[in-house]
Amino acid sequence: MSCLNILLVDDRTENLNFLTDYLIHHGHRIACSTSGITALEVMKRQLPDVCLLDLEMPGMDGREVLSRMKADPQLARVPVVIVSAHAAQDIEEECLEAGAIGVMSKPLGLKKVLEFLRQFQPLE
Amino acid sequence: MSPFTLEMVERLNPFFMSWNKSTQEIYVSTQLRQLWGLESQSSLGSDDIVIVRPKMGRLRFEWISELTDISIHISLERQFDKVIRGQFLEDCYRWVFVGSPYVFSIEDLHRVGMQIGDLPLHDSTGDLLIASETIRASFQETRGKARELEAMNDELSSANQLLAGLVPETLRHTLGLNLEDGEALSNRVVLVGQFIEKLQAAVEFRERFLATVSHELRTPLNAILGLSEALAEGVYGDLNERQQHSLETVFTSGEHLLSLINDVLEISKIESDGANLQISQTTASRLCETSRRMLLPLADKKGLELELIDATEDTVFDCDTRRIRQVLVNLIGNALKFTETGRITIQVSLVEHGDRVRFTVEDTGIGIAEEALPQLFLPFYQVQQELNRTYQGTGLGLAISKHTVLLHGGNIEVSSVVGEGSAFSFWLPRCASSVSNQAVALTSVEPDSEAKEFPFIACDLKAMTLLVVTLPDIDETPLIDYLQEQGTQVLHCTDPLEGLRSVLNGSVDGIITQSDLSDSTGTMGGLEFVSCVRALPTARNLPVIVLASDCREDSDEGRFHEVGSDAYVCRPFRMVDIVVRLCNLVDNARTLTKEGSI
Repeated sequence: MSCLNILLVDDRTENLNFLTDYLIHHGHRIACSTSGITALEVMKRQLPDVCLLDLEMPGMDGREVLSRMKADPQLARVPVVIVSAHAAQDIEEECLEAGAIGVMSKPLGLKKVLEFLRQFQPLE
Repeated sequence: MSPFTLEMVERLNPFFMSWNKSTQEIYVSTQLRQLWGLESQSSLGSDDIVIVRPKMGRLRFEWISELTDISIHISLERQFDKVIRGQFLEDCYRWVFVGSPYVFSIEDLHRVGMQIGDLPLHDSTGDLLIASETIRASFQETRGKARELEAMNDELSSANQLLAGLVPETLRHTLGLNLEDGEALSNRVVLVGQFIEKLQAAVEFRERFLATVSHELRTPLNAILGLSEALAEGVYGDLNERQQHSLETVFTSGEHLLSLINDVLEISKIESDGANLQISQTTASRLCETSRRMLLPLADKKGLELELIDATEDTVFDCDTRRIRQVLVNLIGNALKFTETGRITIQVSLVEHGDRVRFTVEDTGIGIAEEALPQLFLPFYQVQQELNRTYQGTGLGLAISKHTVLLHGGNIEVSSVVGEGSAFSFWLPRCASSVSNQAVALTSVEPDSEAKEFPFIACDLKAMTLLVVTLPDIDETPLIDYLQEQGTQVLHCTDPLEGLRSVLNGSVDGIITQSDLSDSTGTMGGLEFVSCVRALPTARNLPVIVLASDCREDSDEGRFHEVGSDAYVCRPFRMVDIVVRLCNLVDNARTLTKEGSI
C-alpha cells in the first residue's frame, strides 16, 4: 500500500491518539487537528492526500470545514471522509452531497479504515 | 375544549346576542346594538326582549331550549319594526341567538354603518349551525373521554400508589396524576388535556433523549474499541497470551454494547417517526442469501446447518430491502442463539394466490414456553430473564422486527414447542401499493391486546404459596415481607420436618431454604432436606432455591445441584434476584407439569 499523508480532524484527542498510532504503525504519515480552523490552516500549508473529518466539533464543525474546503479551489481537491457518531445511513446523503467522498460511523473499525484508505493515492 | 368565541360568531353573522348560562349576562353584538339604537354601555335583561314568533311573549330562559324553530323572531320591547329573525344555538356555556333583521330598510343599514354588500350572501346562520354542531359534538366527545378517565381514575390511583415510591412528589404534581373523585367535569376536561399534552411532551422528550444518549454513548466506544483493536494488532508492542485474551474480552464486550446501543437507537427511531420505508424490488433469494451468508460463519462455529428453501422461483416483490434483511438476520440470529444442535431452515413461499410472500425461520432449539409467546414481541422482553447471561441481547430485536413487518403491511407470528424448537414466520404483501395504507391502519390498531400485559415480570408471585425454611437465628423478615408484598403466601418454619409435611400436603408452590440447616435443630441438614423434598412425589418439579450464607470457592453449590436444587443464591442477595429466579423456575415447573400431564 502506498504511504499517504493523512490529516485527522477530531476535537477529542483520545480519538486521535490511537488512530494516529495505528495508521503510523501501518506506514502512513499523519497530521492531526483538534478544531476545524486549525485543520484548514494545516491543509493550506500542506495538502493532505486524504482528510478524515469529524462531523461534530465545537465551534467550526465538520460541515462548515467541508463547505469551506469546497469553496477553496486548492482544498477542493482533497478527498474528505466524514467520521461521525451518528449512524452512517442517517447522514450519508447529506455528506456526500456536500462533497465528502465517504462516510464512516464511530466507533471506527480500524481494519475497515485501513481498507477504505487503500483506494486513495498520493496527490502529487 | 374552548367553545366558539364571540369574535368568531360576529365574523359569521353581525346580528347576534348571547346569554351566559351561569351569569345570565347578555351580550349584544355591535351591529345589533346600533340597529336597536342601544347605548353601548346600557345593559340588557331578558325582560327587555320579546319573542314575536312563534308565540308572542317575554323571553324566559327556561323556554329557550324549547325554541328549536329556525325562524324565531325577537325584538326589543319597544321596537317591533326592528325584528330579528333567526335561531337559538346552544354551546356549553351559553345560548346564542343568531339572525338577520326581518324588517330592514336601506336607511337602517346605513344607520348601522353597513353597505348592502356587507350582508353575508351565503346563509351565515347555517354556517354557524355547522360550527356549533361540530363544537357540540367534540364537547360531547370530551365529556365521554372524561367519563373514561373517571373509570381509569381508580386504575390511576393504584398506579399512583405504585409510583409513590418511584416518582418525586413534584413530578407527580406536574403530571396531574392526583385526580380526586368528585371534581367538576370541566376541571377534569382541562386536566385530561393537560395530561395528554404533558404525556406527548414526555414521549417526545424520551425519543430525543434516546437518540441523544445513543449518540453520546457511541463516542466513548470509539476510543474503547479503537484502542483495543490497535493494542491487539501490536501497535503498542507485542502482547502475551493473557493480555491478548483480556483484550479480546474488552473488544467483544464493546462490540456487544455497540449493538445494544444500535438497537435502542433503531427502536426509538421507529417509534418516533414510524421510519420511512425505502421500497425497492427484490427477490427472496437475493434477500435471504445475503442474510444467510452473513450468519453462516456463526452457524459453522456451532456446527449447525443453515438451509434455505426458496419456492418463489425468483418472483419479484416490493420491500425495504435493508430493513427486511435486518428482520431476517435478527430471526436467523435468534435461531442460532437458542439452538445447540440440529438445523435452522429458512423457507420462502408465495401464499394467498401469490399476493403475499411468506418467510419462515425454523429452528431445533430450546423453544419458548406457551405463556411467554404473547409478550415475545414487546420491547425489552426476553423469555426467562436469567437466560440473559447466556444469550446476550437487548430484547429489542423482535420488537423492531415486528414494527418493520407491520410497517410493510404484513404480519409476524411465532409457534414453538419447548425442547423441540421455534418457528417464526412473517409475510409481506407482494406489491407495495397496499403498503402505506395498511401501515397507517395497523399502527393505530397495534398497541391493543398484547400491550396491556406488563412486560417486565414474566410471572406474578400472586396466588402462590412459598415455603421458607431457614435458621432460627437468621432474621428472614425482609425477604418474607417482600414476598408477602408481592402477594405471595409465605409459610415460614425453622424445622425442616415441619417443612416436609407442608410439601407432602401439596400446598406449596416453591421452596426457599438455607444451605446450612443442620445448625438449627440437628435433625436434618440443608442437603438432606433438599434430597428429601425431591424424593416426595408431590415435589419433583417444585422450584427449590438454596440460600447460602457465604460463598467461598469451596462452596457446596455443586452438591446441592446434585441432590436437585434449582438455584443457589449467595447472601447478601437482592430481592429481585430471588423473584426473577422464582419466576423462571415456576414457568419451567408449569411447563414440565403440563408436558407430564399430556
